Amino acid sequence: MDVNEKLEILTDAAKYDVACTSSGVDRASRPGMLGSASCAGICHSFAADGRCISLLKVLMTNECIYDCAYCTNRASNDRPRASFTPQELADLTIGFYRRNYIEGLFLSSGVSHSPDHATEQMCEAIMLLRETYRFRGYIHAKAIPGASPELVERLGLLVDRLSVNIELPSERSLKLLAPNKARRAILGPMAQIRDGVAQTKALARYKGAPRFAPAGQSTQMIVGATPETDHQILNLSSALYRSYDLRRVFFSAYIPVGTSEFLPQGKPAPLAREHRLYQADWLMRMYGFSVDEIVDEAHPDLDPLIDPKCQWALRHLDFFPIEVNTATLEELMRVPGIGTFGARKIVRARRAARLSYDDLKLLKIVARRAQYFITCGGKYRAGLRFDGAEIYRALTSTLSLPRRQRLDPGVTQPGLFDFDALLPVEARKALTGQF
Amino acid sequence: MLTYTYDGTLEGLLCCIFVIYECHEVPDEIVEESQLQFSFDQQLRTIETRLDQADRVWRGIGRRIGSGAQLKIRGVFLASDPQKATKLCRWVLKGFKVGKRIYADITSEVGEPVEALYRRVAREQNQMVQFARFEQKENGVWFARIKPEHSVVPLIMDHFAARFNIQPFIIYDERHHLAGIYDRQQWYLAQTGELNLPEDSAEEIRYQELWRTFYDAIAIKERFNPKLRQNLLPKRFWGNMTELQHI
Ligand code: SF4
Repeated sequence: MDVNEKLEILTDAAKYDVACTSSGVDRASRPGMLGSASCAGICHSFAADGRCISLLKVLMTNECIYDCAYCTNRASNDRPRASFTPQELADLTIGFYRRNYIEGLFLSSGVSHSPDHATEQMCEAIMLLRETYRFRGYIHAKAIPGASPELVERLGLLVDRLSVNIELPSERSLKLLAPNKARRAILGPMAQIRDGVAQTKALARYKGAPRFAPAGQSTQMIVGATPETDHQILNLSSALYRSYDLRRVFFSAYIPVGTSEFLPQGKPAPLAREHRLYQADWLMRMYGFSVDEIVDEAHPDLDPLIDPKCQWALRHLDFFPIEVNTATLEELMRVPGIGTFGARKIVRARRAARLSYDDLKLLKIVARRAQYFITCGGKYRAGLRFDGAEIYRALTSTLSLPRRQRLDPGVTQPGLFDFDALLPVEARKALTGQF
Repeated sequence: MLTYTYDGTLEGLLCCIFVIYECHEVPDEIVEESQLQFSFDQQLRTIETRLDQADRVWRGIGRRIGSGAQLKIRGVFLASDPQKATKLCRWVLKGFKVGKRIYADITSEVGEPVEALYRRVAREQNQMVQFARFEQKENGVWFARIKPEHSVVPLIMDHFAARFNIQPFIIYDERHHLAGIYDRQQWYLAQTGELNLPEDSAEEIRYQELWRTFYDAIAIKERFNPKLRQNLLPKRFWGNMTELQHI
């Protein structure tokens, strides 16, 4: 089989993995060596589904002895199979990198023969890149549950980011759908990576100390394949952030590739839900919201019609309206329609002059949503009423929203892309729903 | 109406500012000579470019406003906006009055236009870093053709010269006919309308095919969303991108 055919099969098999960011580590270039890494990440193209392409995302092999029901590579699925040799994969990565197609490699693998065997193959390919080709670009590898700690350690010392998929939001679902993967086998390497990263940080003071996955670890879970609520999902992700020191938790709206009776058949899970989860996740990480401020037992699922920040604001009307000319940065950031970036711009601009509604427009603040929650120079925007039910109606009325923002859950696609890898401005906009 | 004309270089613009101070007059607009359009009520003054004057103004900007201002002026001056000189001139004059406070001024009629241009240039600089595509030529030189709105080649050379320091390359801006050339030691710029390109290397064609294979295979069909793609990656870039040329 030629490399082109292999590439097609092994890309197709890897495409459901959502993470494709090249972020989290700054590595300057060095004379005589190829490549560098930039902390904010750079994305080099956008695929026909609108997702960003930052890394060469492929599997080492799609041969797999396991049979996870939600996965297209499961042993019982009749698919064409292929495997790269380490040399082929290294050449592809370098060839693509030198043409500015990619920031680096995102390598994962099916479990061919055994978890250790698969991990060894990955290690070998990445060794070639790092040692023979002296490649300084970004590498993200997936650790395979069940691989021996020594191999995970070896892999971690070669890559920028190492991650393990948590796969599904609850242990019960995992048991049902991934009988070969014990939760222990997932959390074990996660803990190992956390400790490895922490050690590296402690040693970073000594020059030349080997660095273990300096961009940390992320994980991914499939949503919409199993019955967990948003509340359960966000609680799990916040626990993961806390206990495993994750950089990112990615959500992936389930696309039906499995035939198990426990899985939904037919239509893919709505992207709107995935999108809301990312927004909620962003609020927790960047704005200091807690899970219970966003969803709770009484409202276990995110409202598909308005973004989570609006949902929070509407439940905390006593906090509003706030005056843009005097509010603190933290207060401004809690206003729907004003992101971290917008809040900083306001703080910066009001040093030069007292701000009016027109100035907000110049600053490109989306007044459409913000207007309900702010006063400007002591004035609440004329014609508006400060009333929760009224605001909710106004915010969800499709007429008051620009076309791109109308959300008909399950029908329109609010955008499945990798927020981390976009330009920072856009990332913030996208995540606060301001696009 | 008083109009200054200058030679279209940054030095020329700085000399306009020099003359403004010397003659105690403020022009209504500053226009590049080659783009001048005559009108009846126009009073014209042609400003000569003298490097010593430009240098004095440049150092003055660094001293009275700061090096941030110099960076900003450099960036904004690459914009393709016929009014950029007028806008920048007003901005510098105000900067001389208020000093560093000019940085916070992004909403006034002097501050906003410059900030807006700056953002547009910075945005396109990023886009070129993301979307430029290199091809390997027979003689081992790597070549990228781009067509940016603004003349951003000078802003992206550092990035590529560092990252690809092991390969000599040329980035050619076909709109502004500007080539950035890196010879594995340093980079420089050349204004040129003519390009004699060697053939692609044998490997090149293979890698382009592989890249298209990857590009097509990575998309999830059930999530097909060409509109979103186009928002994030505007069509005007597609012509020079290997994976999108044929769509
Ligand atoms: S082990 Fe990985 S590749 Fe194999 S079936 Fe499970 S999820 Fe798919």
